[in-house]
Amino acid sequence: MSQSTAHARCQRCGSAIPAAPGGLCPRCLMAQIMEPTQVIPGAGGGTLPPMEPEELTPHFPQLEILECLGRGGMGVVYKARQKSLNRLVALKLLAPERASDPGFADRFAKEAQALAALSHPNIVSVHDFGMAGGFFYLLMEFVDGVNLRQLLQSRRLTPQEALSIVPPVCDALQCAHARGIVHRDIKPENLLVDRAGTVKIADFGIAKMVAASPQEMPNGSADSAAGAVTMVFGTPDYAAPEQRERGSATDHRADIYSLGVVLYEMLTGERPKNKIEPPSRRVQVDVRIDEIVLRALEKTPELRFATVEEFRTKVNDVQNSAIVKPRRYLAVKWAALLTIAALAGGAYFIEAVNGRTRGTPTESKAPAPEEPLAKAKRELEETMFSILTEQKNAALDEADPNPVDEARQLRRAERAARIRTLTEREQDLFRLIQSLAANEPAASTQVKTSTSHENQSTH
Amino acid sequence: MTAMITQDLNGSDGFHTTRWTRVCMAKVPSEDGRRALSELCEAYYEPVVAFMRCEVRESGLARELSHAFFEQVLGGGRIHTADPARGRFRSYLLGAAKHFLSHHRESLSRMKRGGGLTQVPMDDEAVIEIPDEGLSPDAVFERQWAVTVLARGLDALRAECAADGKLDFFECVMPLLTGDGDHGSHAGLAAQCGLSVAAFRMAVHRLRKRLRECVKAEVAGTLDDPSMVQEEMHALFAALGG
Repeated sequence: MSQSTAHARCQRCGSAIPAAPGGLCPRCLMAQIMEPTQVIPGAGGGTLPPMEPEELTPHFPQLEILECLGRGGMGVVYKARQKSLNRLVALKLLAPERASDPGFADRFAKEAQALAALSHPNIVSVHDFGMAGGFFYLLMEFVDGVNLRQLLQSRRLTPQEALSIVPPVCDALQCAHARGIVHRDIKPENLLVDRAGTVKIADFGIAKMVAASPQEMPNGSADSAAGAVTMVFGTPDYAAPEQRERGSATDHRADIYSLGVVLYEMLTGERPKNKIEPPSRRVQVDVRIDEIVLRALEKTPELRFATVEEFRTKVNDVQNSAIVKPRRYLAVKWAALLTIAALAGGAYFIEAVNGRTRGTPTESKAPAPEEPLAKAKRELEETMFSILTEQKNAALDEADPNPVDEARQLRRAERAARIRTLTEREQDLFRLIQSLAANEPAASTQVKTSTSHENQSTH
Repeated sequence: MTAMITQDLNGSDGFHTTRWTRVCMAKVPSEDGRRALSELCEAYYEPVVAFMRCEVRESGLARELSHAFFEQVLGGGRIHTADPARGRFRSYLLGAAKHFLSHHRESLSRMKRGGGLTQVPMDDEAVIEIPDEGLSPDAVFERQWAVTVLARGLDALRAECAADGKLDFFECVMPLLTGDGDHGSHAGLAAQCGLSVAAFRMAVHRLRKRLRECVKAEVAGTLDDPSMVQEEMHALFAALGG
């Protein structure tokens, strides 16, 4: 117990490992054994491990189920390929223990139809829904990226980046609210950022689907209550006070509150406590942001922004008046890509560890197919970083009050040309990575990382 | 004393018998209270060393000070100063260690005035040895405390598995307890343990659940009030940056 290992970093959570019990990262270990926050007390803590893709295949003949992406309070998500349209989709299996509940089936069908009608670039779209193999499932757009939680865990966002997340989320929520659909469970895990930097809201209305009246709550034993049942009122830390008090009797202003919590967390790294400390006391931000955050977090719904549109307008005002305006979407995109890379690295590490422990690898993957993809990803990151640096310099140059002389003009022109070239390079690398990722098993042949790469889709 | 403290902590005895309550209940220095305190001190030696190291920034001195501290706690009849209202052995030990250190510093400065003793030099080697992570001595103490609690929970689980003749399974599965296994393939490990993949996953799941219980039992042993376990677990997780 007394081993004081040099401070290595955990491959999984990135925290420094002081003196690891059994060589395991204490933070990850502790996280695993904490009581799940979304489990109803008495419903028998703990969650069953998700099913293997092979076990699901017989129930979904139209899909090729590739891997389990993760699980949340609402169900388990798998990455799959829809055979007929040859596209990647996300398959979400909802609360299997509810299959026998007729009320749930009705609610599910009603909500899913409403969701399928929701079409917005910042909302993860629903392609199909139904029941198969005892599961209620949703077939959704596959978002190739990370969720905001992963992004936040990888690093602290700048206030500009944090603010840039809000307007697209507001747009999407406005679209849904106009149709009378409330999300009810806005939290970082449900905000996805894809490789292009687009923010998309996932799990719309699922909180309501899975929610049941308190009388309907299962009181089953530890093993029968398979999976965590999410509370009626979303995830406690992000739920508006009225959600916590009155259960499902809430309106769109609950989403405004939750988004306020998310913004607060993005800015300060913490969720608001009982007595909310304005963000500007904790980090260096415009005091107008305090006003926005505190208004969204008002305990009384009437005192919050009346609509998400209003929320958005206030955020835009602050963004537009900032002196230095870097291309924020790019910054977020870059952060998302780095996180993807870091996660991929983590997965690789786990593979390596598993491979070592089991002695004989069950299937030998080609030893070097990752190389072109990894190289392209690295080059993309470097390119994006160069673009960001150039853009930062351009913004500083614009903000410089000194007269613009000939030399400065020339520097500007050169910088603009460099940005153009870099952006083209970025686009090319982007396409290349997409095609390499799509053809991963087949892409072991040498692929030139040049600008004129042909898409090699074999499907 | 040293032998007692450095003796193998992996033994299965004493995990659930170290009760802070027993210490608190021993109003006068009794044999039972003294033994309970010595067990607890033995178990939570490392957090104090970590605290001292962070305070004095020198490993050797930190060990010496910790040693002297525990000697004083155990020998000097400090038991009666344990205030049950404080509820936590963790708080008690940190408070006592701080008290000890401030006394130690006072006596040092008194000696300096009289005899011109020099401060312990911070040679390069010693400084490099202790990385500065910007954590306060209190935070370092709490983090090490959490690590120690986890290590003891794991040891208890290992001992349990060994008693059931499942030590091999435990060693094989331990790396998966941090949750890594959800993303990797379990097939190889399952085959190694002679289980189907589904059964293997279930076994890992159960083991993790059992670890939670072991850690909770360990935590309960340092508290006066068992209803505070959940709160204490959150405090430990927070100390680890969770």
